[in-house]
Amino acid sequence: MTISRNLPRAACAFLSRCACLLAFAIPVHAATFNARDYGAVADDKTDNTAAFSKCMEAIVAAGGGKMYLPDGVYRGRIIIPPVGGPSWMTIEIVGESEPPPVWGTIGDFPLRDKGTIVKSLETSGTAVISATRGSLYSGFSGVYVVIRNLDVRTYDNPRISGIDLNHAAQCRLENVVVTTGVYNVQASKPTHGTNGIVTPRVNNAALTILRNVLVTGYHNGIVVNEHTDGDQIMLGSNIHGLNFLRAAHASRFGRVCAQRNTHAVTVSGRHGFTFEQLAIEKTGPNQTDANNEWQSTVADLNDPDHLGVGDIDQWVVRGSVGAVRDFTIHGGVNIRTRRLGEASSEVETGLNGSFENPALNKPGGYFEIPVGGTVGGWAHAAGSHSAWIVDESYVSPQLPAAADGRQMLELDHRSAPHSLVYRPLDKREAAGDITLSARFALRDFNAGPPVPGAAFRLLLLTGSPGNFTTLADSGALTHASVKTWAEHSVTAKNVPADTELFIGLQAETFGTVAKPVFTLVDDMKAE
Amino acid sequence: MKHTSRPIHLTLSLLLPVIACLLTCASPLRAATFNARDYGAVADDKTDNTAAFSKCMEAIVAAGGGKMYLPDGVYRGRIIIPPVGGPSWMTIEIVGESEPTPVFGTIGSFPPYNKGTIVKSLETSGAAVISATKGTLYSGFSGVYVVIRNLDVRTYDNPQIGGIDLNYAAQCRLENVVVTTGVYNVQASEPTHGTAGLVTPANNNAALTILRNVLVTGYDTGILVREHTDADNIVVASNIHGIKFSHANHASRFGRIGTYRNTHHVTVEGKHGFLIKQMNTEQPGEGQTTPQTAWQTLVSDVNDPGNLGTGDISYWVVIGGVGAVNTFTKNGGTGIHARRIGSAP
Repeated sequence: MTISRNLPRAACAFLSRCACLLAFAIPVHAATFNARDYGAVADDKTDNTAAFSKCMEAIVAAGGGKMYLPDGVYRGRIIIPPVGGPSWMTIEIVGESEPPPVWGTIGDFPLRDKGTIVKSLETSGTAVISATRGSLYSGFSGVYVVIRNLDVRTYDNPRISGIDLNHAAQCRLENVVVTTGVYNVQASKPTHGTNGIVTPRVNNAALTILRNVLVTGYHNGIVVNEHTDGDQIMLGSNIHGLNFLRAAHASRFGRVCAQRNTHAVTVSGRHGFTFEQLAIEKTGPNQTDANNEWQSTVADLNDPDHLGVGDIDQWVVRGSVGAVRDFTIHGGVNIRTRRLGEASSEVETGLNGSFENPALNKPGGYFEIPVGGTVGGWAHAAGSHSAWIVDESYVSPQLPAAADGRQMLELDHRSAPHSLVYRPLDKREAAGDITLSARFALRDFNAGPPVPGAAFRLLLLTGSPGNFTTLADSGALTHASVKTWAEHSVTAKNVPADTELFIGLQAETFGTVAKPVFTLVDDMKAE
Repeated sequence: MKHTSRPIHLTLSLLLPVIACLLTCASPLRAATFNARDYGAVADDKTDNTAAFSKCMEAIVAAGGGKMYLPDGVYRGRIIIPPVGGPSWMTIEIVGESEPTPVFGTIGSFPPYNKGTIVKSLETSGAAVISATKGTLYSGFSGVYVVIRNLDVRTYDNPQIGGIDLNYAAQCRLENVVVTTGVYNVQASEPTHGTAGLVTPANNNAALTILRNVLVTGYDTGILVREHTDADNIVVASNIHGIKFSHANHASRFGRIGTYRNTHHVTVEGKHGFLIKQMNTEQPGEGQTTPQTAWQTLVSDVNDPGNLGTGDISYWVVIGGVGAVNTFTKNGGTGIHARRIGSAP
């Protein structure tokens, strides 16, 4: 014990404490602001919004500090005021006890009213906890929001969100549970587009750290913006467990467990990410009823516009069945997925999956474009090449559809100058000259500006995959614009009847383009 | 700790708050918590608290370990962790009251703030702001496990001393720690004195380094990584070498790291095996440097001229004002497999 060895020092300490008492009316720590000292009442009735705001005002006036909430059920909303800077500050919101992460895949378990619960039953307006738009660049508020040991609740099919830190500069959440007050298995379909958690959006120093966070019952479990590091994340019964928006920097997730989400992961904007372990459980036979059949999985990875780039190691369980090889992908051509323990990207049969094609996995490799399909693939300096077949119904959203609605094929031919993509054409019954016409667009994968310097070849081929002979070669074709297509043609003379025919595309040079993508409008004709 | 505070009515007799304060504040709540202020530390951003900190540390060592607690404020001075000769080891915690704000970025100018728990030294030579003293165990180790939490450690622009030097400590764990030169990193001058923001315990028989949510800006070397390191949520910004690996027998693991405006994001100067699960880099784009900050222009993402590193890096590179790009610059590093996220393994 070090108690008061020096009385004058203790007296000094006392005086400084008194100064604090006078200034902030809080007795324990200068930087700890007990919400109850500002009038908050944990009776599950009183609207504490004004009391919370009073407490927050004191914290901001002090240049930052900790809002401490002793256990109890607090009704109301916590609104973090704008912090205009130029100096930033830390605002902590800390409950007394760690909340129990109540969720699961079966049964019916009512939520307890123990621990520190902040709850709002409002039907419009801001989230239960929200950061207000500030006056720094892009409307940011210069605040690092730390939330620990908190249970944040709304109600079934909520019209308001849980925690919205869109305008905060940075955040760290630890031991946080965001639910709709209903055990997730019984949660009704969320129809109001609300979010469990929104992280700080793209800004110059974004930092999001999520640890031991559970979200259930929302349209979007967690909306992932910039610079996120998440681990021990649980997502139960949301339409989109995680929803990635556009970010400049990449996000990393350690272990994410997603149960009974319509989509475990959705990608809505360009975003790079890594999942070290995405553990999924889908509903099994007889595990849904009329109220919760929306919790049946549509796609584990939902990236219809191919906006994600990243790696996912996955493990999928179906309720009452066990571990299955059933990771469903919608789109996501640029996302490598692999089941735990497997040596390479997982192999799926059928088009609605992905596979690595061994034939392309070498310099000069080749790959067949499925009719009506899309090919994505790339090669590497070391000489390893890979390609995936994806969603057969995909129509590139980056380009205008042909006037008559014909399908487009996207030949994602990035950095693979000597690999060839092709598809078979109908044979000609009579001998003669054959002119192959095809319409292409060439663009940068990152939807960048026009692509000067890039060039490719249009080929008319015969033979068979692995043993092609060139009948006609367009030579290097350049393409100076994006989002428009141009027609090119090649002609082969005196082709015998019934010759096998293939259209081929081969990159020549990439110029300044980091990731060129050819889009082939599917009106190829060989006459 | 359960807070039992209630609204204070100033009309009450002064006696009650006096007693309450003496019981709940001016004395430690636990035998193992040593409040630096009880040893004379004053958080006025003027007084040199080095002697007071040492007195507090002596008491902690005499007690066989414990927690040095620093209520919010700006403390000038250095914290010198005394040698612990063993044979028994002990835990010494240095814990601030509030989590520091991780102020860093790639653009703009934001003045330093003086909130939270700040330990600051403007000395121009000698030990780091926080340092572990050489001990008498094998190889000069001190038998101490140093835990630092919720602390803002500061020096000054182009610092001549280090931030946290745990070279002689046996083990450490840092959480929510910010080490800066008191300048927003974008404006930091070139560090010319070879100092390091953080030095982890050197190779020893039981080294253990755990780093979580640590930010270092403005040093020659942001973090000097020695033996047995497990790190996550690391940001190193505007250092000459963001993370520098020195010789280690055992491998190190990093989860997500942010490396911004460093001359070299990762430098390898000794044989070291490592894994960086996600390295997010940003280098200044056109018009994002001045003559004073031109040194923050990227030279290499991985700087391993002696080819001493062995390991894996998954990277994501951003150029300021441009966005994500697919360039990654290696100087040497033949034993390091670097791949962009999403590309072939």
